[in-house]
Amino acid sequence: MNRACINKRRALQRYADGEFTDDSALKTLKAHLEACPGCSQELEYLLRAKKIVSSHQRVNASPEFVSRLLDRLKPAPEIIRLRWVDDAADWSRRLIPVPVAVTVLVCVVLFARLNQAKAPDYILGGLTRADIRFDEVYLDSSSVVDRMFFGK
Amino acid sequence: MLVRKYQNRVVCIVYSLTGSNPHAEDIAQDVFIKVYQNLAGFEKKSAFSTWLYRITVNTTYNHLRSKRVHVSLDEIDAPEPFEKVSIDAIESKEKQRFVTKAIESLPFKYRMVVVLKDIEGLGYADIAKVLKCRIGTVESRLFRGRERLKKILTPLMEEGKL
Repeated sequence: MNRACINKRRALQRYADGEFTDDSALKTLKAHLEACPGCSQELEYLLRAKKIVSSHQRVNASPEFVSRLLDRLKPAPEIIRLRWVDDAADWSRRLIPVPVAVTVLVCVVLFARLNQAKAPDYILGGLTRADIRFDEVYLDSSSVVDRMFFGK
Repeated sequence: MLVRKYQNRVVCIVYSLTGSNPHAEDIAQDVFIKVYQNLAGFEKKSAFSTWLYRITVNTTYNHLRSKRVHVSLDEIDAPEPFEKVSIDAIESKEKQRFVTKAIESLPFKYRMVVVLKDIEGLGYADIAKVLKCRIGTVESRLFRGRERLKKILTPLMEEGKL
């Protein structure tokens, strides 16, 4: 296939597709086709391939196509909603923090009350709560530091 | 009714573009739903069929891109219902399969011009309107698509399978 033939290949396709509008170019192409066996063969292939592809099985829509489409196009049924139910749900959502806060508060109070209960003897070492004066039991931090670093 | 008039064409295009996808009808229905929803916006600058083809091509492309054509194993392995068929029918079916596979192997931009030209029989100018591109682009895509098809079909033609 020479250079002229390569340039003609687009024209061949247009010719095979019946899209040629320019008469003079068409005459030139026809003359070329008569003289060039390579291009004639190429045209023959093009026409055959077109025939094969165009004979590709045409699939038709099924008989239920339209009814199925209409079903899909139907608007979704409206859900009947009662206004007071919606309002109640809305209020309940808003009020959720209140019971949570109350529960937390009750837990804190209960925990505090339980910790005030009398500790068992094995913790207090036989002393009663009245025997312990917390203000006397303290750690003198300065004496601890002195002991650790200066051996005093 | 527009659906009855165009349903077969739309299904056929989708079927050809998706390589015999079993969900072709669903995609075709999506096309008509889009048409129904956007009918008010149709500006009548082009023919209705051109607009419909454009929606068909775009919807199919989006489907292929998003789903990557999920076909369940059941659909692939499902035996076809037994029926008495002639040798010719089997050969014809086999030929169809080869052609379908050959078209399916093309990149989408070439596949759509080949389908619109050779299967739907649209002219270059109409295809250019559908794809919103120049006629030269249609011509070159068609040329390249056919070049690729040639590589696949020629050996099959020589073997006498087509």
